[in-house]
Amino acid sequence: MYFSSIFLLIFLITFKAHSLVIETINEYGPKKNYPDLNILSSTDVDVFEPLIKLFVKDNKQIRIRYVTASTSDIYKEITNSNKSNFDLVISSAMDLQMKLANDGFALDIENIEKSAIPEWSMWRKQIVGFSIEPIVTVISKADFNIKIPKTRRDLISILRNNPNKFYKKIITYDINKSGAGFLFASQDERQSESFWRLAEVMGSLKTKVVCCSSKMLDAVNSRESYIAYNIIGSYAEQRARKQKNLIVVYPYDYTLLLLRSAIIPKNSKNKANANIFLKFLLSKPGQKILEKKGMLSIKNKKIFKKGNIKLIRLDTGLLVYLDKLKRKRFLSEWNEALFQ
Amino acid sequence: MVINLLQKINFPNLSIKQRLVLQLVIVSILIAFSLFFLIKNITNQVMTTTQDRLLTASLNSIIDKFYTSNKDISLDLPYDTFSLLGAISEDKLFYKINYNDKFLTGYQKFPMVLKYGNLRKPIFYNLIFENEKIRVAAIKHSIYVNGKKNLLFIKIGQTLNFQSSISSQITNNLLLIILIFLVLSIILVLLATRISLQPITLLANDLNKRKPNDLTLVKNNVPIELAPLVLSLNSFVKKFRGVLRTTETFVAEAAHHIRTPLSIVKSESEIAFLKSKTKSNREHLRNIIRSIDETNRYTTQLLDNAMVLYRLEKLEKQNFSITKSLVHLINVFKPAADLKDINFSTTFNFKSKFIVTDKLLFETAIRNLIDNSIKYAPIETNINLDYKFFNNVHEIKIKNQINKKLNTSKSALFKRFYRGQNSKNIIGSGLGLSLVNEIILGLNGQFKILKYKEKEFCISVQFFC
Amino acid sequence: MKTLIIEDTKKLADTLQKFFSMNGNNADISYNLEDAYHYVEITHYDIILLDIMLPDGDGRDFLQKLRKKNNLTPIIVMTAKFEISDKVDILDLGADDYIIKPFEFIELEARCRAVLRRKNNNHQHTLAFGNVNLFPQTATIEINGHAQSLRNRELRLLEIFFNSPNIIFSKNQITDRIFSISDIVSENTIEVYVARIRKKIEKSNVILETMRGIGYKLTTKN
Repeated sequence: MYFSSIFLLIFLITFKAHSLVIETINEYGPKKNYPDLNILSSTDVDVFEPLIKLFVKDNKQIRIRYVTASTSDIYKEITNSNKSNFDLVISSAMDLQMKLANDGFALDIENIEKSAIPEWSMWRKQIVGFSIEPIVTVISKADFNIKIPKTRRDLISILRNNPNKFYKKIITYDINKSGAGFLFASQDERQSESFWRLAEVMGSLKTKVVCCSSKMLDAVNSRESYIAYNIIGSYAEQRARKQKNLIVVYPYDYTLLLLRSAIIPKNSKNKANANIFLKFLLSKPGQKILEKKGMLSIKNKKIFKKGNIKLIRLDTGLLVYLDKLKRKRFLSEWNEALFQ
Repeated sequence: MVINLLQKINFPNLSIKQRLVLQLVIVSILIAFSLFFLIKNITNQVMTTTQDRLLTASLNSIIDKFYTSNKDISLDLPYDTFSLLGAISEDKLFYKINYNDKFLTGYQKFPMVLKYGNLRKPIFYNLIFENEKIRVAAIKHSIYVNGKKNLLFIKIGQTLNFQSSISSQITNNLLLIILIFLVLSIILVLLATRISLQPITLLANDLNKRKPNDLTLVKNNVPIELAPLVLSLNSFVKKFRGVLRTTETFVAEAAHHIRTPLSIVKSESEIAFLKSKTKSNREHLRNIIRSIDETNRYTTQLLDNAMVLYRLEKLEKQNFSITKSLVHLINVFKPAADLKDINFSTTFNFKSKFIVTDKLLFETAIRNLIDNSIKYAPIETNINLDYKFFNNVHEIKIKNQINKKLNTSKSALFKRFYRGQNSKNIIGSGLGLSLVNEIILGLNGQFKILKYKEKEFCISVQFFC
Repeated sequence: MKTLIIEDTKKLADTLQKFFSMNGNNADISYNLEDAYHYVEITHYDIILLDIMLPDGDGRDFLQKLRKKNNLTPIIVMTAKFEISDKVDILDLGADDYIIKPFEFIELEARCRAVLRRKNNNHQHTLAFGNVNLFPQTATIEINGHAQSLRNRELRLLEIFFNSPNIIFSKNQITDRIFSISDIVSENTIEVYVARIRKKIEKSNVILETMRGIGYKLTTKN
């Protein structure tokens, strides 16, 4: 199956013209020319692969293509919808998913039993969450001989009190480029005023900004950075299992909890297959296999006891930070703070 | 219009009850439907108003979030407002804000509106956007930037899940309520019609229970609506009574006026007969006398009938001894019986048992029966009057022999003017038995012919205590 | 027998009188109550025939008054109305019997006989001829102490002969006296009765003699 990725490189080139920046592309299932289910996702392929393989075993006639890209690219792709032909869009950028659905780019999902999933994990039968993610802070064990900050306040005072130590040693999302990162930052602003003080401090210490959680984890592991702020919890936990230098911190003041969600884009030609896949994704075996990969099941209740969990609500409030003016204002302020 | 409709639904073949029920049920259904649509309409209006108020509140919070920066205007959209708007019903949200004539933010392709309201009174529209029906609130608001007045045109729209989800719930509940209402109202209608028609039913039963000869006035404890009917019934009864009285008087008078000349003719004929010498003269006179007798019998029976009709309406009950009465009647007929050498025998198992009934009618009946027996019994035979009182029943039986077998049905014997086959030579009017039957029935008794086929004729009259 | 007829219909009263006289009985007529009271005061009657509807009053008043005066003359009331819608029984007022107009003479005669018989209860009225005694009250005939009962018609027949012995009665005369005019009587009905009578008196010295072509008469043997 991996061989087919060579063929697909050709597609990559053609896709390029499409302006979608594809990160990875993999196909699974019976040998066919065209996939029966075309998935566009922001989740790493290694996380999803076991699930897809299991699905394909039970649904021998479906050929799946799993394409990964960044959340903002995913949004752009779906909104320039005339040429796209994806059947399922998976993203951790809740706000972008909400905007897609609100603006009419999503189809109704069928056969979802309302009792099988929590009520906050579905919006209007068009967006369905399948996994929850705490947004955590990761710390380099080796470089932290001081008290580990439990709250953002703690973090701010540690940073203020140890400017030399942490100069250029903090890493976080570039929210200009990362949709997920933008979501985390905007939700941070919502939650407390300490966010801007933190941003100031982070800016003053020349915080590094990158595209993704993996890069942040690499940096902390290699001790290039001591603190990674706003990291996707599942990735952190997965890595922390093997990389002992990584300490995952669930901030006590609040820990954001985001929803990884899926929508069926309106141009999908394989609606039925998409529905079948979603049903599997939400089923017990589907959820179990995700958990094996470190992700939390949508039905997981233990996480809520881990700290002051603040679930990001899947509602039209998410549209606010995507408003032209608001976004412009937020970004300019954030940029001003981070890049002093 | 509804009344005209109801009047048209006056199916001629249905009973009053059915008509009433049908009309009331139709009215109930109409009311139910009207109620349903009315309530639905009201709830829809309430829902719309609620949504409108929400939208207005959101507009208010949005207005609060405008600020100027560098001579430019900017908007810090309120997160909580947007969050709340969708919270109740997962509705989609769209908005467009223009600053003077320039597009500021939101959805550029948001549909146009003709007029904008203001914060205190926004103007609301039902529009379509992105294939969804939305409710839009549109306002224009003045904002002062550097002392200069500028206009903000704000449109905010929400899909109608809010309305429809609750609407369907309400519809279901409403349907259930309306259904219950209908069922209840049908039950009530059936009950009410039965109760209101009860006076009619009671009146009908009352009238049905009456014996054919019952000419007592109808009781007037009926509702006002039936009063005219009862009044006319009673006046009819009175007229009829009057007619009866007149007839009775007329008949009695007529009978009397017939009888007197008849008596004269008869006695003259008898004298002539007794004096006549030739056989043919005797025969002629005999025929004349027979005709007179027949006329007389008819007159008697007619008079009896009239009397009975009248009397049965107003019975004069008396306490008298049956045996004494029977003995008296036998004595009355003894001379006539003696002429035919017919003997009377009596078997009474009570010396004197009393009965309370109309003595005159009782004696008329018995008299007719004895007269009948004497007429049809052959000479030198016996007529037996049997009386017994047993199990609270008075029973009088009259037995006599008859010349020939009667090959007729019992019911025929009771018919008026019926003459039996063995009655060729017997003068009679045939009214006898039917009259007796009427009298006995009118006195709440039973008249039976026990034997009539063999050469024996036996009747039974029963009175219950 | 002396009879008083109180009847306002003249023709009827006259024919009644004629009938009585044909039987050898005397009858007086009164067309109203006033005259009737008068008659009753002067004469003794064996029987009174009283009509109810009279021009100068109700016959019942007459009846009551008479009885109050202790006049016990047998009274037969003649009434045209069949039903007596008056509350008080005629008989209770003191009448001995009543007859309803129109009636047959023969019935009237029978009632008169019956009434008289009842009235003369004290002494048994006997008719005798030869060695035969006739007791109308008990309807028996006695020959040398040996009694036989008689049927009504037999009695009636014997009464006629015993009352007028040695008188010839034609068949018609006998028929008219025994049977109602309306009855169809065949030729030999009389003969049947005569035969019966003859059987009953065969042990006596009395015979019922047939006079061919004329009739019958009661006579002694030899």
